[in-house]
Amino acid sequence: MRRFDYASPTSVAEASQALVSRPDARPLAGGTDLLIQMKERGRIVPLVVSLRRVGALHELSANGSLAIGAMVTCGEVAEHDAVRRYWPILSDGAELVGSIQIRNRGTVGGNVCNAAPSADVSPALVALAATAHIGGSAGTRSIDIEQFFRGPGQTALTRGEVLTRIDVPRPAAGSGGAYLRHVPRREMDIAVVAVGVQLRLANDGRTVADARVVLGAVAPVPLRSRGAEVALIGSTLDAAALTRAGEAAAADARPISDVRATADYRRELLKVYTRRVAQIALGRARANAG
Amino acid sequence: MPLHQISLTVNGRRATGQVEPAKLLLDFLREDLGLTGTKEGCGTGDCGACTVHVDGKAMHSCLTLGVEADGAQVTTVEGLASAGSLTPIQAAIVEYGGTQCGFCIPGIVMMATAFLRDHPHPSEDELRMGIAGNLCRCTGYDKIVKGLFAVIEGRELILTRAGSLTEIPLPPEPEGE
Repeated sequence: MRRFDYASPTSVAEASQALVSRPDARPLAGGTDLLIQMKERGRIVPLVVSLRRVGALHELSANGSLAIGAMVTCGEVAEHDAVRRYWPILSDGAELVGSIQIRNRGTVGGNVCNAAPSADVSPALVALAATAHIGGSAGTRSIDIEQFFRGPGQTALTRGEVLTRIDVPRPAAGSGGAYLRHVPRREMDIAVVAVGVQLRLANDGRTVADARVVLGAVAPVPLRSRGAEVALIGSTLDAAALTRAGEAAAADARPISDVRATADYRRELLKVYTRRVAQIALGRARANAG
Repeated sequence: MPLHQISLTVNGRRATGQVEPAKLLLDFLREDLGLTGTKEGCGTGDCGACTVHVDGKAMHSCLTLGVEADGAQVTTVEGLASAGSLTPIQAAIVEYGGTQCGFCIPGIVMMATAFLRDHPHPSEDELRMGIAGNLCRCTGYDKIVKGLFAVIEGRELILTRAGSLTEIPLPPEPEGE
């Protein structure tokens, strides 16, 4: 790893100033992506701006909506009782990141800002209609998390901006969500395809009133499948609706062929996983209908 | 590149040093403190050989900068038992032949120690997932898992007979030969 300068500011404003002070300065959260890029792929970062001393970024609270500071680790989210109860799609995703050692270090903010198409936390956040709060020297702004992702490694952050917090609204009663990914091995691998489904049942307890379907690792960004959502909404998740949703997800996806899978195989997997994940989400929604 | 002063607690003792920002916690432990029980395998967070506890949580010392451990409580494999003794997890891995080449074992011991502290009665599947971030290139997983289950189930270990459950004196060196 090349040598670098290191700053550990104690506020977002200071972090922002440090980030604009040198070209290619980068914020450091858990380091489980950035340090590997610097060690193994020769990424040159002249100034590493650690966020560990910015206290507000470490806060995790679930009073009504869920507020996840950018430095909260994937492990904290995966094991948080309220997250597992009200936002299980998110604990599903956070629990799949790396190994226990990685989850104890890697952060939700880092997973989102690294913007890997295969990131396991991001589809859940999009499915939950989360909001990203961004701080910088020019003030703060908030955007729909869906608009945060711009491509592999590309986000809506401009120079000097820092993701500070992600807010996730609490799903209404009768809601349920789930996230699964396909991997050839069970652990220490990244998604070949991934599907997150968050749905809400109508008062009859059977009909899907609302649904969000988000696909991972099959497009440059976590991708909402509007087609799959249309197929699920208004249905009772009968076999025909599930088949239509799977086919719509496969049609909406823009997968590539790479060392992990061909594009065709990814489309086939989406049909299976969309159905499977929707059924898990349905089971959770029923359990949550009271 | 200015050096940074760090002060942390390693195995219950205060450790201070001047480090370059690029110095990994792994290298600080091994080179500056001489604690060579912690191993570097892949250097990319895949193999788990460098696992240590930072503020009680198992993590990769190869993906942690020394400067980021400033103020932390760090435990390495050297800090689990006092000199001349083993913890039940260490004793069980010895007794069940879990150690082959041995390179992965400090990391496995650190991960298993944290995992069993947090999940004292896992199923076999949960235990295997718990240590899934630790690769054994000898593929000796079965004996490691059997040894860990001996601890989980409170089975008597030959190495524990004489000692307490938290700290086990090593047997005396055999005489002759």
